[in-house]
Parts: sequence; C-alpha cells; structure tokens
Amino acid sequence: MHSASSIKQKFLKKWIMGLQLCNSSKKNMTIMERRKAIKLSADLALASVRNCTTRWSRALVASASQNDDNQALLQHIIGSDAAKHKKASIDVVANSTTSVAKKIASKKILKRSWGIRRVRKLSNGALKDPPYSIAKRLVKKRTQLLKNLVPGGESMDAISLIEETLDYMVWLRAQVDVMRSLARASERLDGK
Amino acid sequence: MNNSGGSGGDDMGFPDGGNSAANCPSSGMIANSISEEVPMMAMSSMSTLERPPISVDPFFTSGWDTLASLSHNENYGSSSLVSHGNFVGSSYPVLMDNQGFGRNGSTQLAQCLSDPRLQYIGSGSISEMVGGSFGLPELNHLANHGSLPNSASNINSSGCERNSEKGAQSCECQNSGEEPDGSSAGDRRRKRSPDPSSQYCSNKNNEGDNSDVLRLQNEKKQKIEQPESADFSKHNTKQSKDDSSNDGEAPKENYIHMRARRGQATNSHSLAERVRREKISERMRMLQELVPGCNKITGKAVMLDEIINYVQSLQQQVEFLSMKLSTLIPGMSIDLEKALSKEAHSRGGGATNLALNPGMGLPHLYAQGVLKGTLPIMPSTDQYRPLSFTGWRASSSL
Repeated sequence: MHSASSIKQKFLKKWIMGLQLCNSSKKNMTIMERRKAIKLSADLALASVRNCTTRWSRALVASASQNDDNQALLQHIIGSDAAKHKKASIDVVANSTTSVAKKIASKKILKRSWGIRRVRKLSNGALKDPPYSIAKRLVKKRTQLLKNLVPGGESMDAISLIEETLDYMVWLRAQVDVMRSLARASERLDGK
Repeated sequence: MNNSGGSGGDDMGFPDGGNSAANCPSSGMIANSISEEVPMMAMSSMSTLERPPISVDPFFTSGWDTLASLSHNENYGSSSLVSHGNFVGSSYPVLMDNQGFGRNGSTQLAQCLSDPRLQYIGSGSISEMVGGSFGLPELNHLANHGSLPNSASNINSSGCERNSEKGAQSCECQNSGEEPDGSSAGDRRRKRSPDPSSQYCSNKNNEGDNSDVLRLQNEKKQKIEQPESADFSKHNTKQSKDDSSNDGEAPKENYIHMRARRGQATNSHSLAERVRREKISERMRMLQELVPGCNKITGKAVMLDEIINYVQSLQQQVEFLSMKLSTLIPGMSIDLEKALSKEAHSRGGGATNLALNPGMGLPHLYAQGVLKGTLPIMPSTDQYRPLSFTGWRASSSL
C-alpha cells in the first residue's frame, strides 16, 4: 500500500520537477510544445521511477536521450542514477537498432520463402489452410501491432513482449491516474 | 534461441512465489512492489493485476451485491494466477488503481482500501460493471461534477465487509482446490475439464490439450513450491526431455516438469515448444485479468486485439490529459502545489495519492506552503531553487 502511493508520489514529484525545469528553460511555449514537454517529462519520470529495470522504460529513456534538446531534462530527472541508466539505455538503443534490423531482414526472408511454399501448395492441391494457421497469422499480425505500441518492443520475443505489455499497461494506468488528478486539481483551482 | 532471452525476464519475484500459496488466505496485501518486497504481496500483487482499471465512480455501481457476485466469480477465475508471485516489472500496487477509482467521496474508499482484500474485490468488480475503461472520458466528465460522496461511501463501506469475506474464502477455495491436485504430484495424468485457456495452446500434438493445461497448472504449483530462475527451468526442461524419454514415472521437483504424455511426441523440440507455448498462455491469462472485460474471451487473437485496443486507449488518454494540462497550466510551474493542496483538501486529505503517504514531502508542503519540503527529494540543484521558490510565492498570492 505504501509502495503504491509512494510510487505515485515519486512519479508525481519527478514529473513536476521536470515540468518546472521545462518552464524555466523556455518561456512562451506554444500549446503543442507544452504538451510535448508534459508528456516527455511524464515519460521520463516514469522511467526513472522504474529505475530502468524494464525494457520499455529503458527504451523510452533511450529514445529521449537521442534527442539532444532533452538532455537537460533527462539529466535532471534521471538524476543520480544517470550513469547506469544512460548506459543501459544506450545499450538498448544500440542493440535494438542492429538486432532489430537483422531480425526484420531475416524474418522477411523467411516469410518470403513460406509464402512461396504456400503458393505452391495451394496451386498444387488447393489445400485449405487449417483454421489454426489462420489463427496463427492473425496472432502474428497482432503481436506485430503490439510490438509497435509498446516502446522498445520490436526486438522482443512473444513471451517477454507479453510481460512488458503487462508492465507497461500497469504503468500507463498509473500515469493516467496521476495526470487526471492533477488536471482536476488545476481545474478546480482555476474554477475558484 | 529467443526463449532464453525471453525467459531471462522471467526472474520475477518468484522468490516470493513460494510464500504466495500459504499467504493467500491471509495476506490480502495487494501492494505489489517488487523493489520493496514483502513476499506476501506476491499474491495480492497478482490479484491487483487481475483487476481491471478503476475508472468508474462508486455511484455508478448498481449495488454491491452484484459487485460481490462479480468479484466472487472473478476470484475463481483469477486466483490461479494468484499463485504466481510477483510480476517483475509491475511495481504498482493495486492501490494505485483504487486511487484513481473514487473521484468523489473517495475517502471512504480509502478506508476500504486499507484492507487489501477489499481493493482486490472492489476495484475489479466495479470495472467489470463499467465494462472497461473505454468509457473513461465520459466518466471523468461525470466524476468532475462531484456527486454523491455520501451514498457512495455508505455503499462502499457496507460492501467492503462482505466482499472481503468472500474474497478470502474464494481465494482459499481456489488455492485449496489447486493444492490437492498438486499434492498428488505423481499422478500427472489426471484429466480435468479443459480450460478455456487450453485453446491458447494450438497444439501440433492433438492429444495434448488437456494435458498441457494440466501441466501448466502443475507447473504453476511447482513454481509456488520452488521458485527458481527461468534459466534453471530451461536447464530442467532439457534434463527432463531426456527424463521423459527414459523415465516417465518419477515426478521430480523440477521447475518445469516436462514429461511426455501418453500419445505425445517426445521430441525435444516439441517439448521445448510446449514449454514456450505454455508460458505464453500463462501470460496471456495474466493479461486477461488485467484488461477490463476480457474474462470471457478465449483465444490469443481476440485477446491480443483487446490488449492492443486497451494500450492504445491508455496512450490516447495520456495524450489527451497532457494536452489538457498544457491548456490548464499556462504557467506550468506556478500553481501546481496550490492545486494539489486544494485537491487534497477537497478530498478530505485522505484519499489522494499524495496525501496517503503522510511522511512524504508534498503534504508536508501544504502545511507550510513552502517549497522546502520538496527540496530534499530533488538532487540539489541550486539554480532551480530560486525559480521554484518564486513560483510558490506566486501561488500563495493567488
């Protein structure tokens, strides 16, 4: 119980710190910029709270660190664990880009060969795909979609992908809760 | 092989898994923080993961009776997962869900939340009532109108007691139901009625469905009994492949006991693949508990579809909320604390995620109206202090 609220609090604090930093650095931001800053600081706060133990958090940090504009924000939020996280995130980035490319290429080759085989089969015997192969295709399509959704998900196999998805979902929910409460609070404030 | 990489992530809180069965009836602790690690939380953490998101106000519920029945049903379905122990990445206790849960009158909910079992039940059942988090924007809108805290609280408090009892009982029932099967570990061939989850395992070995499910459940029990690393499980899998071909009788206390069943191929490849498939189906089941309204869905494809929709909707919510915040807070740093303090007051100070942890800096701030409370948290960067301090001054003047 304590950990739940404390985690949310940690996230909130880091997030607010990030927002303050953004605000102090730039004045007169447009709405879009502000939105991006909010989202970014939220993501980074998330990742830092998780201490980059999960893959998707590392991927988030990695993608954020690639953008040089965010360096100050990144350093601020990630804080003392900067060295570890940066290493981890950089490793993730490096691995992901190379390995993903390779995997994708190899998978494409495989798919091409399978497709050719299937065409041959069909042309030969007009075999109907048994239902489970159709299901497999559907599942594959959807896992691909999921990989695109979850940050850093491209280079994971199905098992870890599902774990990461679980984790990410839980986190997203927490993020939504915190943001919503903040929004309501500020609404009330403005209303009064 | 990819599995080794993937199963590396399996080193979840399985050290906690050993206690989970024993702790099931009593624990009720839903907090699920792996880093902080109370072993008891293992079960409750899974229970919390099972709960769909709480996006509905209490007054939406038609009644705690229905909720109790729903939760009751859910308990049976999900308690099998309870034994799984902590899930590695998710260090978000259930409480997190429940906090977003009661927008109004959530103080009473907070009291209910103090009993973890209540969280376990209340959150899940209500979200089931709502039928998912996809109606969130409207609910939010309604929630903002701030209606009926009292009635909600009464309902909550009354329902909580009942639900807690049922939750404990169902939890115990399920675990006790599983345990006898596990105790007769030697006889793995006991047939059970095929679970819906057996459909996940689209087997190449056609006879294998029931046994797969059975082994999966046995596997889980073994995980309870012996929390070990996934690498070790891989090792055992290889060992047991040999064992399965040679010795089919002696049940071993392995992490995953892969014995070839009657009429199944003892090919090492198929065994490994079966392990993999079972892992996937386990996790799919976990996900099923987490995503709202997915308890009746069987089948990977549909389940994945729901998951994708849910993740997308959550991401869209984040976008929407960040946009909203960007419009609401032009200053972005100025009145944050003030807003939070007001929120805390409006909720009675007991229900917000901020106020729940009395030792933390933010509530402390409210009393003083000074930034100093947050300073210890930050890595001290002096350049930012004066900026934020002026921000607080500005807010106090509002």
